[in-house]
Amino acid sequence: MLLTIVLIVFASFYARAQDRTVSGKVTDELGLPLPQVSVFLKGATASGVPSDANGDYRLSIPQSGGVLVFRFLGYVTKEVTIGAQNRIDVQLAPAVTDIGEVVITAVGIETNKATLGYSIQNVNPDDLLAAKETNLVNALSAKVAGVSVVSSSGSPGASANIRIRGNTSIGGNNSPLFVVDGVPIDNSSSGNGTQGVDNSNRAVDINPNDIAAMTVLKGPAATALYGIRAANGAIIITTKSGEIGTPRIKFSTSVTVDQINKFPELQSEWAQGATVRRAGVYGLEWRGPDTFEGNSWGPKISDLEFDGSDYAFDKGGRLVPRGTGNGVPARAYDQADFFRNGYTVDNNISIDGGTENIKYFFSGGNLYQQGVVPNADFERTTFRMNLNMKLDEKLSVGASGSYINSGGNRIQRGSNVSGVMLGLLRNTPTFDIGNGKQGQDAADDPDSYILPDGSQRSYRAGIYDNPYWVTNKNPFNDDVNRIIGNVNATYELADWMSIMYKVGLDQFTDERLYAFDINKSFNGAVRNIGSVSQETRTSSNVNHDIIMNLNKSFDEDWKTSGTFGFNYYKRLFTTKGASGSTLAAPNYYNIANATDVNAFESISERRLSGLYGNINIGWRDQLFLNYSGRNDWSSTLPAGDNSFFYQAISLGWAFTESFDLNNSWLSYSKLRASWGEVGNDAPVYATTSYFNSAGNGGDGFIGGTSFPAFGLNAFERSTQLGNNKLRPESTATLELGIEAELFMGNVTLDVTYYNAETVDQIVSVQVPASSGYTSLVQNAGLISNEGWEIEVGFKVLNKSDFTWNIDANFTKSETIVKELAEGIESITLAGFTSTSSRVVVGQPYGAIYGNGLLKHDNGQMLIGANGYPILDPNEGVYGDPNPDWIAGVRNTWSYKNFSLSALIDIRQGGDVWCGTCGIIDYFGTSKLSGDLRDQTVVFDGVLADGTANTKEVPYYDTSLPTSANYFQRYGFGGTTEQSVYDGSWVRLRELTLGYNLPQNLINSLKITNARVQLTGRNLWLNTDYPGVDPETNLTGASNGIGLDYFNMPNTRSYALTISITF
Amino acid sequence: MKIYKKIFFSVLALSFVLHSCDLEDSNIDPSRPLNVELSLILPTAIGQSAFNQMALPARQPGIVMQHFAGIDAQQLGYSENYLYEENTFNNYWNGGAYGGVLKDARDLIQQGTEEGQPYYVGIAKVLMAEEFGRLTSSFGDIPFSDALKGTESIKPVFDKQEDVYDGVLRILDEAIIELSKPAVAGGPASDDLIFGGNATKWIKLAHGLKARYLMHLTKRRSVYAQVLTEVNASFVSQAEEPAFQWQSAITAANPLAKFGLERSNTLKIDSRFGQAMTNRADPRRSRYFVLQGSQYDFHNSSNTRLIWAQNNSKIPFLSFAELKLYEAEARLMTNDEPGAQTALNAAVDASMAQIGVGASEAAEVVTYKATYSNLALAATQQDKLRVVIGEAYYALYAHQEQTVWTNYRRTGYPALTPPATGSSGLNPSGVVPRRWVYPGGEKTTNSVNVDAAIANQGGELLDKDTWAFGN
Repeated sequence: MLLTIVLIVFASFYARAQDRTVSGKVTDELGLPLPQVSVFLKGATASGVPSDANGDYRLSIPQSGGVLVFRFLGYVTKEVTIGAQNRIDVQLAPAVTDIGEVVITAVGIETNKATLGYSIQNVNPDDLLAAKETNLVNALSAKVAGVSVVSSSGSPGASANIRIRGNTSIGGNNSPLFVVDGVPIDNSSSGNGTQGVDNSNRAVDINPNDIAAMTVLKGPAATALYGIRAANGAIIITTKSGEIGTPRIKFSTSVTVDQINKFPELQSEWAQGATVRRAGVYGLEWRGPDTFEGNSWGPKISDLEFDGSDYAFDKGGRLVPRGTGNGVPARAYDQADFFRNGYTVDNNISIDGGTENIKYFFSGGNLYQQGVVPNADFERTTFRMNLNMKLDEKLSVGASGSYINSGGNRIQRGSNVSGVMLGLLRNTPTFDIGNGKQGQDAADDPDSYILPDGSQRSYRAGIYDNPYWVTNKNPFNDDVNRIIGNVNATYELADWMSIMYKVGLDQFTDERLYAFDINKSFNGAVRNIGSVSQETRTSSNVNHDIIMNLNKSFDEDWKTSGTFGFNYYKRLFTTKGASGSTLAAPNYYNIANATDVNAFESISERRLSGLYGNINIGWRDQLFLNYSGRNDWSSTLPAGDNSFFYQAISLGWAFTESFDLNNSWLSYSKLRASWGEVGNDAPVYATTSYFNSAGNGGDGFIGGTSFPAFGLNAFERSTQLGNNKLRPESTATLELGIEAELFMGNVTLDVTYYNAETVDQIVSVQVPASSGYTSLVQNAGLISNEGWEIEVGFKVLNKSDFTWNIDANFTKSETIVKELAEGIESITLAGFTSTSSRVVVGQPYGAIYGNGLLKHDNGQMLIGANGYPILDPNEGVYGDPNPDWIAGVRNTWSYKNFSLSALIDIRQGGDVWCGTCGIIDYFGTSKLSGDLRDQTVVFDGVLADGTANTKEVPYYDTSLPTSANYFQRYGFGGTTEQSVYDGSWVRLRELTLGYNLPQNLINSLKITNARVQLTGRNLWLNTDYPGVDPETNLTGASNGIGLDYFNMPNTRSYALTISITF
Repeated sequence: MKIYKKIFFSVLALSFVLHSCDLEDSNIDPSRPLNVELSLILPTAIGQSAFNQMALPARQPGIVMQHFAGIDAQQLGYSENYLYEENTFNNYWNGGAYGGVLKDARDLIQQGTEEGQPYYVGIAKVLMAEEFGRLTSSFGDIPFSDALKGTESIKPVFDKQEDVYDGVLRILDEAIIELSKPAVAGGPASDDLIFGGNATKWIKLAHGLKARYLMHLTKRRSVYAQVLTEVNASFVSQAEEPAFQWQSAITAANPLAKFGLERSNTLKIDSRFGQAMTNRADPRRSRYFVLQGSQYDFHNSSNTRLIWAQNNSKIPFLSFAELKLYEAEARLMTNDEPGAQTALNAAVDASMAQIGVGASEAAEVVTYKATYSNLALAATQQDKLRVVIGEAYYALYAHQEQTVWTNYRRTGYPALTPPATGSSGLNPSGVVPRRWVYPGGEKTTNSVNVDAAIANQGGELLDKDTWAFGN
């Protein structure tokens, strides 16, 4: 017996001595490492090991070799005969569906999606490129459930507003965190107010051509490891890196042509003018530019002709009643002639390659975009380098970095007498802004916007700027120089444990120069004394990460992994500059040309430390548990009380594996449940009250006094009260989901429901000014956020040379403001004093707030004895800017070397305040005001006594002052209520036709791959919204939404792309 | 290689140690002070007060009093439709008054008291009283005794208008007491943009303002004797008149000029006012407006004669003319007609002199006075009062529109015809506005107290009188 035991032990030692090891790397179809792949000898499952976080594995095998099996959920299992090899690298191909694709969960950790208990989604980088968007954020439109994107306009480099699962924070940022190669980057935007120009959000600096993979993290269970900066979700970007092999050169070039896609409808029937009283009687009269008057409530254009007189504003002379002039009929001009065709040229080149020990990737890109508005442009030049090096068996180091130069000439827009859309849409149909020319030709000819005496030529003689004047005389240039990079080192302590240290830097300077030239009217009156400002913004983001990765399987049944880390983050943002007014010489935009100069400087610095941990346990590829916890210390919270902890837990159960339910209609399904919370800290410097540099104002129509003034400097106490008792805010989210593969994998379904509540919001709450302060930073409010996200994939046809796939995503989300601070009814997010986007208790986030018309107690419109509706003296909510749901449907057909893809984007609901419409109705340039002005109406409503109104009244009684007409009687731009419209749309967002040149043709040219692609963007748009494309927002990437006040139009594009790989 | 391991873990340890250090010292904004000297607060308090005198809170009374007429955009709505909404006065209430002058005055009073600086306290009280006076005469009941207390009373209750007027007069008395104390080192000097730190002149201004706010109460109280006392204690000549010198630089320019520039062609002189001054051959008219086509312009950047709308206008804080008009009214109503005529003559002379009507126009001034400010030509006391208030209507144009409006509301002079389209939900009866509705900002943040104030006054719409000006 004893001998037997000794023999067996000896035998096993002997056998072990005969073993050898085989090692290698497992990668996915993109060459990215695949961790957690089961690697085992065929027939000896229990002997298996999982691949580590880098996809590496090492396995003892008998001398005799055998067959290695690589198995990974969601991928096609691969078997390799070992033979004499001791290194075997394999690439696994995805199974027919995407249930097991690699996703990057957090801090650079790649995970198999099938093992997660929460919703997460990849975006195909080819889809990002195919969108032909300058701004990466725009390229995400309609592609991911739960993600909504609203661009501010079609201006070159304009910002876009991205939200994952809607808005949760009132005072804070609601934008997701952008992470490039594990390093969070700055996606801030600034200066997107109700006036000024369309500025960029800084994700515009990312060249989509450099992206290898993108993952969208939605709820707190997914983002806990990024901490509070990912409180609104995260967009995780992995850039391209080198692959082993000889140098590979890729080149792509594309040309895009842009046109405006939607322009408000204008009238072309009625001339500039108004009712004028002559001999005690009012009548319609033409009132030319020299009257400075803004109305287009004059006579019919067909009733007017030129008089041939010498008139500075029109070569044809003044307009007079037909029969009293020279017989040349008056005519209307088309304001849309102002726009030109924009174009974009985008060239990119990359080279990559490497050996086992050193891999490299270099790229360079240049994008030049010329806008549809004359003289508007944007340029971005990027250089990127990724290096990875193995110093020895244990230590590998990497460095990646990119340099970006971006910026352009931006054009004034919005609520601003220099806004081009304001000048264009208010312009009367009888005034030719181009003076005989159009588009760029008119912009290049000063005769279109300057009169011979040097004063401005516009339909109100300089009161509103001629758009061509704006494009020449009001420059706004920005120039951003940015470096994003990181260096990292990973040390493998054991094959199941490694430690990484990474230092990331994102630093930019944004230099801006903007000016308004001196502007005079023909009578010598100065409209603008001229101003020039120079401004330098710098942002420095430093990020340190120490991360320990553990990856251990006890046996084939139990797989565990964990991550523990320390993070330190510091952001320093400064703004410095000088603004000068009263220009000495015209047309010279230098601060030295300003007579009065004020300097300004602001500094904001925040620091954040965090310790975190994450544990994953998987059992038999069917039950997956994940727990994460994090403690943060933030500099912005009260000293001594700045620490906070939050956690998340998730569970995934692939029940089809448990019950072996693998039948023909249901091959795989997983249930997911997770709960997680995430904290958020305070804005900087909110714990104390300060003195500010003094300014005197409070008018609303004019600028104020700013000190230094009168030879003195002055300071005043800020009207914002600091609070040293702030607590971190907290969002808790419950998420439930199911994913399934149906009908032999031909249909995939992923449904997610979530319900989030954000409490203790840190809000700068408006307090009664009578307290001596106007706001108090405090923890207040409760916002609930509930929604559904559905993703469906349908392989309609899958023949050898013809496939047809449909992928659809659907998002329904509702954000309701449940509570605000005690006694506070609303907080303004953005907008005007008259109409704004607010949070209002009991209303959806961002509700459109303003004035309206009185209603009878029975709910019907109250009509006055004079037959017109009555202005309501109280303000209230008149619109919900949040869509009921949004959806994206992509059809992809491929036939041999051809592929065709169409992305339909649907938005149902979502009100937009068309402030533009109210104003152009007021001035009488809108089609509506043109069509209705000679009509009468019986307004639908009731009189005070409840009886139906029957009084017929004219919209425009020409025997009264113009201000008495229906479109002017409720004040400038009418009421908020009258200008709120449904912003629903259906659009063909993208249409892409691609063709891969046949291999036999290109191989002779030493080309590996060549592709030609035609793309159309926004080719078709169906909406009832009367203004520009309702996918627009006056205040850009701010929290305020649903506002359109002379916003720049959006564009439709046609692009040709050629890409070649050598 | 062992060396790699050593380097790697050394860097790791160093980074952790360096970056776990404290975060707390970094939450102090290095670009903004936590405390400043009194002399750095006073300029903005005075500057804001001067701003309010010429900006929105002056233009709107000027429009309803038909000095100005809107011809476009919002200004047209104000003129023709009386569209004075909740949001119209938000900026003034929040930034100009409570978050402006009153907040600065509160800080000066608190800090000045702590530092033993009576003149800063006194000046701040004068500014505070004036702003509360402007507020209550515009809105009726307002937060007063409970106001400006920050978190101590974050939702201030409203005081009755009568109590606010008493409070304004009391604050002015307190100001006089502070300004009568002996001077101490470190008192106001060049930072006092009105009097350069001269306490005696501030005392006279305080008396002058007492005269003004007593005069607001003529419908409710017998005030004329007191008014005369206060006028006597105030300025004795135009030379003593307090004035605020605006600058050419647009960042420190007269708000009325700024409006003319930045909102050009939206507001003109009401043609009725222009026509009346022309008909009366008023020597001041060429300083008030210039006829451009059929429109009377109050602003033209190249016409330096338009004295009220220059960037660098010098604007009397309380004009000698206003003071003399109060005296004339008080004497008239206490049956001292000769005294009233003397004061009225002095007022008209002061008004003319103030804007540079010189010796060459003396004859026109004489004719004007003989024709229009001659009490002997009026029959009854009411007719004579109409003459006095009528002169105020012409003399106080632009720089004291609030007084012009207040005069109208307490005497009914001059008679005005509201526009035919002046009726709306805001002003059901369509009369010349008697008050402003409460600003939306206060309504949404302090609704309980605003509602109580509205209930207390029986309404807040434009045609609803406040206590002082009702019947």
